[in-house]
Amino acid sequence: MTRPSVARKFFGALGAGALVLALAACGGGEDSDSAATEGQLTWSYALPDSAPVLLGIEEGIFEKHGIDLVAEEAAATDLVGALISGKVDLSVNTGPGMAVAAGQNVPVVAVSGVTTFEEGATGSTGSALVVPAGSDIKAPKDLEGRKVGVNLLKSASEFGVRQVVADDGGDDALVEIVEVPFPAVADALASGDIDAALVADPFMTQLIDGGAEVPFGDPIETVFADSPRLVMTSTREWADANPDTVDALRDAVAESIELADEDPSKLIPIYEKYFKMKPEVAEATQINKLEAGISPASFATINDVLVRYDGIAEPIDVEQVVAK
Amino acid sequence: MRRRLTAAAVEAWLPVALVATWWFASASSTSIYFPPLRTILERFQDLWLFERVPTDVAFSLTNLGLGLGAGLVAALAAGVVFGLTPRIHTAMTPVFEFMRATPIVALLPLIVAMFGLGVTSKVVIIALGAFWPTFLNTVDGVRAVDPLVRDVARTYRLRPVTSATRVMLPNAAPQIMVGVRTSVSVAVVIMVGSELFGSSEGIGYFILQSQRSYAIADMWAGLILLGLLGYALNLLSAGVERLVLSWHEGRRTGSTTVAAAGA
Repeated sequence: MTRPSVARKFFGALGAGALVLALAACGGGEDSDSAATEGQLTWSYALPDSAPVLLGIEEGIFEKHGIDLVAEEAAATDLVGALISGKVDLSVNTGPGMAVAAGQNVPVVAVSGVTTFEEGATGSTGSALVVPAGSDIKAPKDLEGRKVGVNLLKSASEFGVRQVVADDGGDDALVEIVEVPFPAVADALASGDIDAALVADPFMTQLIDGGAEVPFGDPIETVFADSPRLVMTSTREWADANPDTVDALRDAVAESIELADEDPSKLIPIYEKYFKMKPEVAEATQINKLEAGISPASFATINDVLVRYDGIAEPIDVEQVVAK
Repeated sequence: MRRRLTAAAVEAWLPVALVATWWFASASSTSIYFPPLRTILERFQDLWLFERVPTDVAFSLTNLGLGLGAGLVAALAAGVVFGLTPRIHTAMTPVFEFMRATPIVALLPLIVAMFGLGVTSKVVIIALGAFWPTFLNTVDGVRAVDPLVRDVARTYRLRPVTSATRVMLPNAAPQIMVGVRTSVSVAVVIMVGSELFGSSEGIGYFILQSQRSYAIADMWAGLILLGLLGYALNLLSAGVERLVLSWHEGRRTGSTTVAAAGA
């Protein structure tokens, strides 16, 4: 066979180049082409912590405050993209997630708090560090030299485990933390691949029912306590342009939270409807403490811990992540 | 000489033009998904020259090397055996075609359940992916050996091992090498895929982690590294092919690219 002719190569390359340029041109579309009709706001929710807000929508609280809020479920991995691209007006994120985003200059702000890392009305956070039955891990310091599984590295899970070990007088550098998706935890614990794991419900309840032990509660709660867990977010641009709507949203979330606090059982049908949970799972789902306000001090712990473990390079300015 | 230079220029102008376009078009970009190329290259230098090489790059390449090695050796051995036993091969063909058509990364959850989340499951799945293209090409290559050559080998009463290594494999070599080069591309794809699930190290893990923590320039730097690694591996396998087939009169000249098969 001979080499393809120069001309053929030239045009082949030209075609490939045109394709690449066309693809590049498709990117970067940042115009807000929100699908909502006039006056409607779209909100992508994720995590069961969003339930009190959904309850507020169902009960007409947002309508009362003049907000027509349309909720659509989003994957927990797509909390920023849809906002930035203008696909939705509002989204959710976690307090530590907001700090990491701010550290990378992602222009997203919290318009309202929803939950904190403390346990709520149901008396549990729904996550804990579990060890196999009969394990000699009794205190955080015992994790030194052991392998701990978390579902996401460089997140509140990893930082929480490291910080409880340090707070207990241990050296967190001696703890090996690896990424283990929740569904793989049971096998990994049984085979001895890992010595402990930080898990959330429904996996936590399943593991405890199967004999796993909880030696010292939930490291995330212990470390982050009253820091904001779930917050409602928008782009900075949107929050700056719509200060009245931001105020109305805050009031509506606060009122929804009051309602959920009065009667947490009202959240159970919400879990079933919006998170497609089975009744028995919805029944057992725990809700953290509800808190609509975000005080400037509430990011102090997040700043502290994330800087220590390299989640962010330097402390973030709270005004940078919370809408005025 | 002059013709060579022209050929090199024809191959190089587009990449150079594209990089230049990227550089200038992105220079003042404020989009979080498309940071300036300058920022990406600065991150590339910080990350891959050579801070994370002993951790992420070494981890990925070790898995790739072990998996590819195991997969290719198994593919050659099994390929000769099945190539020499046409009846068994015909009976097994539907099974092989089914296995080959299954996207190997879809087996990852199963492999992880069997071998845990450590290095083993990553090496196993890379080996599995690398196995098929080389295996199927080896079988076909061995079956296509001229019946006359087979008869001569049989007449000389060559021992099976001698016959396989001195007659069958060299005869099938051109086709085997096509399979090997496809195996290399597939192995790289699976190496990255295997690090996107329950991994704590590796280039694939790094890219995923960068995306999760909004470090988009880092993510692009990782993608560029993967592109360069893939390109280098392709050059390497082309070199190996040239070496292995240097005796072969009908060996292919020219084209150094091989279409990447889906994995």
